[in-house]
Amino acid sequence: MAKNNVNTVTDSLKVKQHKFQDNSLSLKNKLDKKYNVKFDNEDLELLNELQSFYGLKNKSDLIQIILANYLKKSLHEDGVARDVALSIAMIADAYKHEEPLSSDVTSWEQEVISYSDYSNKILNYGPAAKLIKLSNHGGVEHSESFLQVGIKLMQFCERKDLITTKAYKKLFKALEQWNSLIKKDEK
Amino acid sequence: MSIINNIQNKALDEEKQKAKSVNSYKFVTVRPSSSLAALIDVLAFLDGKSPTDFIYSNFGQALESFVLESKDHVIPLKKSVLNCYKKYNKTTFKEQSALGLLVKEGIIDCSFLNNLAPKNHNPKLLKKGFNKTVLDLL
Repeated sequence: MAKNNVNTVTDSLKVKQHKFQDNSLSLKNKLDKKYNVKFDNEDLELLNELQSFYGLKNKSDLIQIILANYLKKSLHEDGVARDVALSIAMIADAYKHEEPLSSDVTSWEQEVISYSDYSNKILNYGPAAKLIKLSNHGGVEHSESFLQVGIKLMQFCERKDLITTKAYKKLFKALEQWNSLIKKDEK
Repeated sequence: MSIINNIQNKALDEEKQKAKSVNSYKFVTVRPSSSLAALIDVLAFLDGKSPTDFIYSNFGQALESFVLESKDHVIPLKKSVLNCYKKYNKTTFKEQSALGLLVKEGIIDCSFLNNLAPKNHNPKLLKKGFNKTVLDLL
């Protein structure tokens, strides 16, 4: 009975369909992520005191500040995190490039890397050292993850509409190509 | 040793065992901004961990680093050490926790807690007034 009433109401309701856009929205990715994280009691006690010192209502806000602070510092340190910084640098580098990029990875030295400091680091320690054979250095152990992270970051940028230039697209394809080259080399 | 002392010691031991067996961590929901979540995803991916495990394994260091950013944090730090002692009867801290790292690096010295232990600790198993009643009986 109730269901019939609902149908009657929905049938009677006149809607101007043309006023609505023809998009199908995916809200899943728009929602903020949340993680259910384990915290040691000692850390929670310290967090509680800091939270009350700063008068913050939400503990998650303080955790966010602490993590952001720490991860920003980590990006400046040597090791794996440095690769992330380099990947970001490469994206930024590609972004400011006005000329179309070549998807030929061997020409990256001239076309992609304009800032010499990044250039030296990537060519001496990154996968380029292995593939372009510009250096005798064997490349760092995590050179493959360097590429994967680069791709992951670029996917993120694409999803968020951060980079829409042709240069970015080409660089992304070149990275994919490079990654598959490395995988073939390993096999 | 009197029967009363035996009962008291047994109760103390039971309380200590109980304190040890209680979970020494809690779960908290963290809602990072989308940019921070992306960074956590990337670094967790590099580390071969899930984002939640990545946060857990790095949080002690992150908190230690944050605490050392300002002298204003000394008072909250002192309070938290005492709270840990009062709530969990802790005189030592997990190595990977911020307090554990600060002790390990010699930035704080909590050895005074060992001297406090027998005097201030009030085991929950002994009902309120139990000790007093026992002393009255003696």
